[in-house]
Amino acid sequence: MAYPSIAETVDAGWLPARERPRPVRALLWLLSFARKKPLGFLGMIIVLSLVATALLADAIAPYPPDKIDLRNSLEGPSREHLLGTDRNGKDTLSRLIHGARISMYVGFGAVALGSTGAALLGITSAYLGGWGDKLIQRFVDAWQAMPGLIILITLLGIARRMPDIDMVLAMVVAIGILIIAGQSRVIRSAALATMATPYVEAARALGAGGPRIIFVHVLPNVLPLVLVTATISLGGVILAEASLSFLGFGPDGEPSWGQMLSLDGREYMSKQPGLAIFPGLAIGLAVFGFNMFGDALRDVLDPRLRGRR
Amino acid sequence: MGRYVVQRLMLAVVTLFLVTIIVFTLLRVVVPLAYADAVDIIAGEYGRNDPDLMQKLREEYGLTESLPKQYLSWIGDLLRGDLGHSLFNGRAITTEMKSRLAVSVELGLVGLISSVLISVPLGVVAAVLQDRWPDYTFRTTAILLDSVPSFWIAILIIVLGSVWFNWAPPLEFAQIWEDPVAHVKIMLMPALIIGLTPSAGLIRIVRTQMLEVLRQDYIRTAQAKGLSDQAVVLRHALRNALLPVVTVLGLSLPTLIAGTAIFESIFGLPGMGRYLVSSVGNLDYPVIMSTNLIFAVLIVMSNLLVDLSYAYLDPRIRY
Repeated sequence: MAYPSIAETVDAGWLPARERPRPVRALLWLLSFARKKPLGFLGMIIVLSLVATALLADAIAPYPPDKIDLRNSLEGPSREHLLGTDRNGKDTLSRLIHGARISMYVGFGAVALGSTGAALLGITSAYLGGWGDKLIQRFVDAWQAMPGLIILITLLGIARRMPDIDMVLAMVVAIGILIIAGQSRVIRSAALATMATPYVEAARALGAGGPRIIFVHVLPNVLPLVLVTATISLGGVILAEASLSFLGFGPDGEPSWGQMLSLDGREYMSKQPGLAIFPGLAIGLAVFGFNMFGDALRDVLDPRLRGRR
Repeated sequence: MGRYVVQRLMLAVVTLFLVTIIVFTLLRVVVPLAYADAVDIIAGEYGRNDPDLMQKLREEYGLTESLPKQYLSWIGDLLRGDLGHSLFNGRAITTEMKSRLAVSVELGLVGLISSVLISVPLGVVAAVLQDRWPDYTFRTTAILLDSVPSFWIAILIIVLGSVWFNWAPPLEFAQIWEDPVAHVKIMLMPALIIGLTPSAGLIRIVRTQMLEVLRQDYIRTAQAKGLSDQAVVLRHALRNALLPVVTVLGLSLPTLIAGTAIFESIFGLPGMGRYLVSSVGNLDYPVIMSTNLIFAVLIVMSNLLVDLSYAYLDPRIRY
């Protein structure tokens, strides 16, 4: 497919919206997004760079993340090691780059699982109504009465004891389950509003069954909300992953940002403060990027929710 | 009002009942089926795999009974205030929990106070000086507080404190009734830092609420009467702006309480969160179940308090 030149793009910008070629429309939308939501645009760039970093970690990282080099242990930033090295001479920058993998994997994985589950649970609860709805909601209440991090520590602590469990996957599932309860509330209330509309009643009158109403009539209407709540929750999930890895419930072997800050490295941190500073900055940057992008996306996709935060 | 209180109380009881079901199902049904029950773990710990002995132990622990019966006997013990015994050191959990609960609750409460002390002044100043530099500074602060993990701030303080000032947090924990000075020394820093994360949301909500209230007619009336700016902001506006702040405070309680688990680990405080973190590695069922349940009780009770405090704070709300 031949993409239009810049001159054509600018010209095409003046065409009526429907006649503009698709890439031009996308570009124009992006430009207006950048102008209206500069912070959100910055967030989007951070998110995209992090995803690229995670995907290309092997290619970008200057050293293998586990390369031990005891002669150069606990070094400060230098030309060879831009962010210094840890007690075993492992390159901090390379470990940070590889650490992006777990953050992105857990972040997107848990949110995909959680938001899908939340959409299904929320809509089903709204569709059932009456006793079914009440029962589901009381269980959601109970699930939410336990602090999230405590549930996660419990689930992952147990998973850690079991043999042959992939802790990254365990983290995705545990955080995903946690998201289901919280987000299903929001989805349920939107689904309840949709259930009350005349067209759903019409579909019912035409004899549409439960799955058809749920998937064809209600789901498409709450989908933007699902997307928005999913994006907004990404920052928090990355923070949760970092906290859990920090407490030692993350995967062994693979570097992760939280684990780099963990307590057993504390005495080395006072010798080389970079070890304490850089992983935290990485977490902060990622969470900031996702938060800003999520907020902006919410404002663009769902004006009703504007100014919630 | 009375009816509302009763309704809320009943809902709280139902919620806690379901929490016990979730906790019981997870730890006494799912985990034993998927991995190991209490006796397997004890046997593994002592390196004894004698099936007869294990069978005898199972009977002793009541694990051979039917599940509903096991559940009922657990609930019966709970209602009598007996949380059972740790599988590992055999100590009564109830005794252990009392001192640990005190540490965690103190940490959470001081954290709550610190977040209010940080966020209310910043939010008020940001609103009064809207779109001037303090407003931008404090809003940026809120965004940064939202992005940065609070445990990282704690680590930075510890690490940089030792590098620059040769300062380190004390290692020996002392209860407040044993050595009040040592107690405050070790608790103050973590309690203050825990309050940082919830402050982010609070700064924003205080600011928006103040902006809304400051535009109302009665504020203009107060100014027209010739009251000082200070009196208008603090006595007339702030009071009315604070109601939604209570909601956000209530909502941030789970974050605060869960945060104690992290901060107890960093600062070596013997609280509930650390109790859970250390026993979950041993699959010490009774301790895991008790800590989860008590955390849930704390949250349900504080939610109840938040809901009931509306009626007290806002005379317009009558149930």
